[in-house]
Parts: sequence; C-alpha cells; structure tokens
Amino acid sequence: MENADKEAIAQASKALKKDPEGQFAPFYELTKKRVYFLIYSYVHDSALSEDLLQNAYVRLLEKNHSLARSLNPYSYLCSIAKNLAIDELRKRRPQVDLDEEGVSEVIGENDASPGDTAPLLEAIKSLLSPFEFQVYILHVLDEKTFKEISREVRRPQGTLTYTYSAAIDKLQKGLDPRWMSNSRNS
Amino acid sequence: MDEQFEKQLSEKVQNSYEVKTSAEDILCDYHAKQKAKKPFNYKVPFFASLGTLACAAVALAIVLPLSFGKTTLTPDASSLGSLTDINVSPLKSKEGTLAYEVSSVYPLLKRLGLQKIPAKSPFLEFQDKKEGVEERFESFVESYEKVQSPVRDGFLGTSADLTANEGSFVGKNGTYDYQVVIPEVGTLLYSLDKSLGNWSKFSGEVSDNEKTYSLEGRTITTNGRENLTLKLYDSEDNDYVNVEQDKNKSIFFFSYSVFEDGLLSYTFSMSLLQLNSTTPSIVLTYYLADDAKGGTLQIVWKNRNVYQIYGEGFAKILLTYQSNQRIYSYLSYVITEE
Repeated sequence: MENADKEAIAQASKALKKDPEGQFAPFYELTKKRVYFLIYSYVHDSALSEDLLQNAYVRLLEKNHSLARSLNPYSYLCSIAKNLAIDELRKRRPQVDLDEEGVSEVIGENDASPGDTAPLLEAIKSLLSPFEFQVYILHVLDEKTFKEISREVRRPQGTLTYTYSAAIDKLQKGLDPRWMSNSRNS
Repeated sequence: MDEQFEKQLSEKVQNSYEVKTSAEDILCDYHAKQKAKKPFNYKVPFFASLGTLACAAVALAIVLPLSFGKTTLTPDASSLGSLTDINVSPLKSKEGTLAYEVSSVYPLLKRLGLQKIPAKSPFLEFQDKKEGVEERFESFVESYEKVQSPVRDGFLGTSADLTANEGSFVGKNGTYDYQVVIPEVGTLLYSLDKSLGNWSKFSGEVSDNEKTYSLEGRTITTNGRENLTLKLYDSEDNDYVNVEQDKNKSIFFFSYSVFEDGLLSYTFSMSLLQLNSTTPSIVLTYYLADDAKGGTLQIVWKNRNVYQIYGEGFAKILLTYQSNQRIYSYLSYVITEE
C-alpha cells in the first residue's frame, strides 16, 4: 500500500474511532475495495464477497466502541473480513483443514458462478492457478506487501515473489491483448 | 517481469470492479441490527448496581457460616492494622477497611466509564491533565476522594449488619438453605455443598427490586489458605462478574473482572501484602478495556492514621486521618477534606 494511502486510512481510522457513524462514509470509501478483494481472494465469488463485506463492516461498527485504543480499526476490519471468508469456506468445504499451509491453493477454487464478476478478473483467473490468483489479488488489488501476504497465507516471502512474478509472466503471455487496449476496461 | 505491463494491468484490474454496497447500506444494516438487539441499560448495568461492595458482601456472607460459625458482620471504619488479623474478606474486620476503601475504586471507575460523557474515570481524567504540580495534586485528591466516597457513604457511621438466617428459603430459581439481607444490595439466598472435604460448592441468587442475579462458586479452606471464587451473572445476558479472593499467609488478593457480552470489559485487582511484620501495603491495579488504559496505585500503611500513596505520577502523597478529617499532603501542598 502506498504511504499516502496508508496515512489516509490511518487518519480515517482514527476519526472513525471517535465518531463511528459520522466518519464511516469516508473510511468506507477509502477501504472498501481492499476489503472486497481481500474477501474475494478467498471466496472467488463477487456476490458473496459483497455480502461478507457488508457483514464485516457492520461488525466493525458494533465493536468499534470496545476496540482497544492501540488497535487499528482497519487491521481489525481485515481480520474480521478474512475470518468471515474462511468461515464461509468452512461451511462449503468442511473436510478441508483451512489452518494448514497451502490451503489457499484449494480454497475458493471453482466455487464462483461463472461471469459473476468483472470479465478481466475472470480472464486473469482462468490463466492462473488458484494460489497465483490469490497472491495476485492480495498484492495488486488489496495492495498488501509480500511481507503482509506472507503472514496471511503462511508462505515464505520468496515463494510469494516467485509466484507473483510467474503470474505476471503467464498473464503477459496469455492475456488477450484487447484487455490492455485503452478502449476496453472491463 | 515487464514492469510496464504489470503497472498497466494493475490499473485496469483495479478499475474493473466497483463495489456495489454503499456506506449507507451498511449503516442501515447496522442500525437495523442495533434495533433488533435487546436494549442494554448502561445507566444501571447489573455489575454497577452489584459492584465490588456487593460482591465482597456476598462473598463474605457465604464464607461467614462456613469458616467461622459467626452470623453477624459489622464492618468498621477503623484504619488498617496488622495483616495477620485479616480474615477471608477485607470487609470482615476493621483491618480491612483501607483495602475495602481501595476496592471501591472499581465500581466507581466502571460507573463513570459507563456514563459515556465524559466516559472517563477520575484517575483517567487525572492522567490526561497537564497542569502544574499543585493543580495535578488537587486533581488527584479530588479523584481519590471520589473513589473513596462510596465506602464512606456506605459504611462509615452506618455499619452494615449481615446476618445469615438458616432455614428453607424459596427464591426465583429454587429453594435455598441460607438467607442474608444485604443493605443497599438486596436479598441473598444460597445453599452450600459441604461434602467435599476442604472444598465447598455453593449456588444461589441475589435479588434486588428489579432483577435476580444468579451466583455460583466454591471455597477452599486449608491450612494457611482461604480461597473463594464467585461468579455473579445475569442469566438473560452474557454479562457476568468473576470475583476471586485468596488469603494465603502474608498475602491477601482480591480480583474482580467484568465481562460484557462475553468480552472482558474491566478488571481490577488488589493485593494486600505484608512488606514486613508491621508494614502492610496495598497494590491496586485496574484496566478499563473501553479506554485501553489502566494504572497502579500503592498504598502503604505507616500507622493507624497515616498512609502513603504512590503512583499516578506522584512520588509520595501522605494521607492522614484526623478528627473526621482526611488530610492529603504533597511537598508543601496540603488539602483537607471532611
């Protein structure tokens, strides 16, 4: 995440703690895409991601008054979002141990109904392995550093940078050039 | 890796999806869920109305017939004396008075914390002040006086008389063997299971004019140790208070934790230590989750009428009890309260 964005989110988080409802809209506008894609990186389903996103923010509002002063609402929100996504996956795949390393390679795979999200994302998803797709989303759309992703998916940073690099290579080679033209954005 | 491609694709992907849920949708959902929830009375939550005073009194009322065969308690406002005289509860004897005064910090802090405006305990307010030494000292004394007031109001001059009646008493949730009327709190009913050797289990209920609270716990009485744990709870909500007190040779420990909706909201503990054979000392700590703030005070007994208070940014404040007056002194500053 860019420093300016980090600073803006930190300021919005601070304001949210003081005035949860009054300051909710600016906080939401700054963070919604990141939270959405964080959830999406697990569940691969746009409609479900929207639902879980709403639940995550509502929970944050409910708990805002009792958050410790040292706890950043945005970090807390990301934890809620991730936990909601994983809970949802547990419901769908009770046989999978989601706490194990490498679980991100199976979670969310083929769970989404086709065409439920942006076509460009669909195209990217079709070219990448589930794990590459997750790393790509977390890094590009959720704007997490590899260090942050490493903590999240329990993989070494080296693995993540390699995976990301491989994903970009695959996309460069396999993605239809029309996606990169100025006339088509989505 | 082609950085230009990566950057271009990143921008395209980022703009490829717009989150459909609006901030307004979320706030509406939040308000709907808040409305659906059972309203919580912040003004008189059960743990505020049934604060440390009540918990200690309940604990004491249960311990009395167990350990000592006495049925009457008369708390005294005298000063702290030798630790060796202190029995299971700080309320039990005159020696516990100061400890008991200090323990009153909890309900006051919590009550103030729940008032939301300004949502600060006296000491938390004090910590935030940046004035000069004299103003800070005045603020401290004001805070300390506030936290002592419930005890003075409740016990000085008007000794509580707790009498445990034995018999068969019908409560809301069952029939019990003991009944104690606790002034300012309500009626306590409980039964004991004494068939466990050094252990005794108890369960019962406390009723005031508005509600009935359940309680359960156990006591352990062994050589040199007397321990009691008690849980008071409102069976309709996930709010409860855990109390533990333990006397073990030269240490008396009392802790009190409040859980709201299953989450720790406040914890308070008091350790009464005997620094040497004649110098008892109290260490008091508290933590208020809402404010993520806590603090520690140490109160050292010097003699029947003089105490030293440390903490909250002061090296040492002297508190002297004299002819119904409380005289606080720090450096050249003196404040007298009546």
